Amino acid sequence: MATRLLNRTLFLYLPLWACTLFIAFPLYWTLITAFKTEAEVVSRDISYFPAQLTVDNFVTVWKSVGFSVYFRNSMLVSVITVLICLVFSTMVGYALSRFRFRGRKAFLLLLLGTQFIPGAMLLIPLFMIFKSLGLTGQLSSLIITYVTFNLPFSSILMSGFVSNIPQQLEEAAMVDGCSRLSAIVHVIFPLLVPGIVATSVFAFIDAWNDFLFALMFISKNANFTIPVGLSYMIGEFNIAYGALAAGSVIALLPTVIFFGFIQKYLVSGIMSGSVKG
Amino acid sequence: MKRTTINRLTALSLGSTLLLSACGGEGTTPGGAAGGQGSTGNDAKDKVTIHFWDSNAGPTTTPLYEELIKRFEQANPDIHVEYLGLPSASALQKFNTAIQTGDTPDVAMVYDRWVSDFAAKGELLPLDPYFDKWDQKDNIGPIYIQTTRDYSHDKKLYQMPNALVLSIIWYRTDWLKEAGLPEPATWEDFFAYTEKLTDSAKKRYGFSLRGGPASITQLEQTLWSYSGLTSYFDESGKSTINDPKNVEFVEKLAKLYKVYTPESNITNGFKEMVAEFNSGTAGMIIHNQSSYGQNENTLGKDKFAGLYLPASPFTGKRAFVPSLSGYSLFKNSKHPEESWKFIAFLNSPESQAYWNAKQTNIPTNSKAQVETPTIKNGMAVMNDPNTLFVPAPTYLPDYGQIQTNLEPDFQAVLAGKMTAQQFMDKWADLYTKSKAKYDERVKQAK
Repeated sequence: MATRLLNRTLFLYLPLWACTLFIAFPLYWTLITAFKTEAEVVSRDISYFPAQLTVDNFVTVWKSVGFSVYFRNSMLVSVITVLICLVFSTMVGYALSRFRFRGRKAFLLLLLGTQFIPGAMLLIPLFMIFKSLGLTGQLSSLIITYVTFNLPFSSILMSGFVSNIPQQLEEAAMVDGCSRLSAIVHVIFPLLVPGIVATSVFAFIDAWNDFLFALMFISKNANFTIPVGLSYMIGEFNIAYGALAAGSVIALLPTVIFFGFIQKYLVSGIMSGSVKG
Repeated sequence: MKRTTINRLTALSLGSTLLLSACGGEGTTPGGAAGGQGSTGNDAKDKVTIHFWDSNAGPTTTPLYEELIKRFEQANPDIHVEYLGLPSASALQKFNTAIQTGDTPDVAMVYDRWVSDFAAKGELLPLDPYFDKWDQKDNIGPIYIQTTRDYSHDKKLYQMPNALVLSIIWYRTDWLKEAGLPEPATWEDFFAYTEKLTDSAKKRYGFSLRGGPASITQLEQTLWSYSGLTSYFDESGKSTINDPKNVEFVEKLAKLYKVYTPESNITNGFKEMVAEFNSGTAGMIIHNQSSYGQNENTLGKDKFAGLYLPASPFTGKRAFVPSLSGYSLFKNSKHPEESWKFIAFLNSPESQAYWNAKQTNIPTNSKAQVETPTIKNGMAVMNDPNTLFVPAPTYLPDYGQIQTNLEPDFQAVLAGKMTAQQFMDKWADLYTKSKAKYDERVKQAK
């Protein structure tokens, strides 16, 4: 009995706690730095809890740096990207998984191949395309870019999830009188929820965190997104640590909340490939 | 039935996509002009819009420009300035992309180290015709104009400098008072104080070295001040970096490491160095006067002061490697006249005083009045005939790369694995080779 407890403590709890601290401490540090005054941030004595709590950093970052605008832009771009990505990747995933057509393997290979191209290489050509479309400086150029870069990976993911759902289910529904489309909507979709959640997570994170395209395609201060806003804190001659931490907390918030809601679907989505009767 | 619907939908979407792309065509559509770069056309009120890019935007600089733009627009109601702030770390990337795609702004805040590159690419408009007709022409220090001209291959004026940053030794005045020492005035004082201010009982070090990122840039800026040499290259094109006086300085500096400086200094960037000064770990640092604001915020005005790099013990002259920032006009601008008006406004005495006071830089317009003692001292130093500039060879294409590549070698010198002589010889050799390649290319271009 005692040995079992010792074993569990040594080999389970201790490593887990060490890992948790290792992962959580930087986040904790960012959080308390956001609430410290600038003088306390650079002082020699390390304080693990702010001696003097202040919300000045948040106020500065929200009002004078303009995070209220950047937050709205980031939200807009990310949510629209995820929605468009989901709709199209589900359709592509279904087709790739269920239909057998000529060139299917080649198409799959092509999708995988696009993942090897570094985004920065396509910066100038994409910019020229947007310029001729008259979209430079608009948020829609960002949305189009993010959807384009996320679609292949999302499609591959979705085709994997759809493959896990036995074909017999739709066939049974169609035998009972459903058209293919209503079979998809009524039978496949509810089972696909974990897959949809997993795919949307990837797309959201990618769109939310992107810096390069947001900086290069947008030329109006009012249209910048959060990653660009964060980099304003790092000036040529000085760094506003408190404001940077406050901005980071604001940038982390939606992702953390998003994850909090969907994490149970994410776990079941990962496991859904394992056992099927 | 299903198949036909799907086929029809596909045909419809394909057709409409092709149709829309045909409508797009070349150049900007009316809807695109509003979002595009470069000056937009005049609207009904005949108001001209010029685009201004700030290369060091942030919570401190952006509000300053907003105020200056407000003042400018009030004085010139027919001109609207569209401000775009770029984060400092990625600003150059944005400019390079803009140059490649032809989407440059009208006016931009440009550092002196970018001028030779942009001018060589033919992106900037020479300001000489505007400058010669300007009423403030004689108030801008000739040394600044000449230095800026020297940055470009054809000696034309491609940037209007408005702010100067010089290297300075920051020191703790309260520590000096405790030790009963007078304020430092010479290089001898500096080296003596690194020892006198070190107090291991109080965990105090006399000096904080910059051994990490950009250590070479800063080292370079201090070398000439000590040795008194006035040029990076001699007449035959050989680099003067490994002159014995320069080597002597680096040896003296390396000897301070770990004895009068913290051991962690070997990887210090400017953040760590300034933080050590602000947190009371180090009594002196060599930086530039733009960290004045941070020092004031953390230490308070009465605990620190600055000494601009002292005169050389060999020649008695004060030499600085200048860091000038200013404004340039891009060639693609559709409104050069209005753009020059804005540049001229930013360089007027009032604008320069406003900007440089808040940023703690030295104004280039002698009529600009700034009350901060450090800035007043700086202006006095610049007015001294014993002060001279040793401009860095930023025209060398691999100048920045050489400096970055040498950083590990400087660390080796600090760690005692390389002698200062070996390090300086290697450095001089790289510069000499780079200059020879550059001169060769210039000759071929002619």
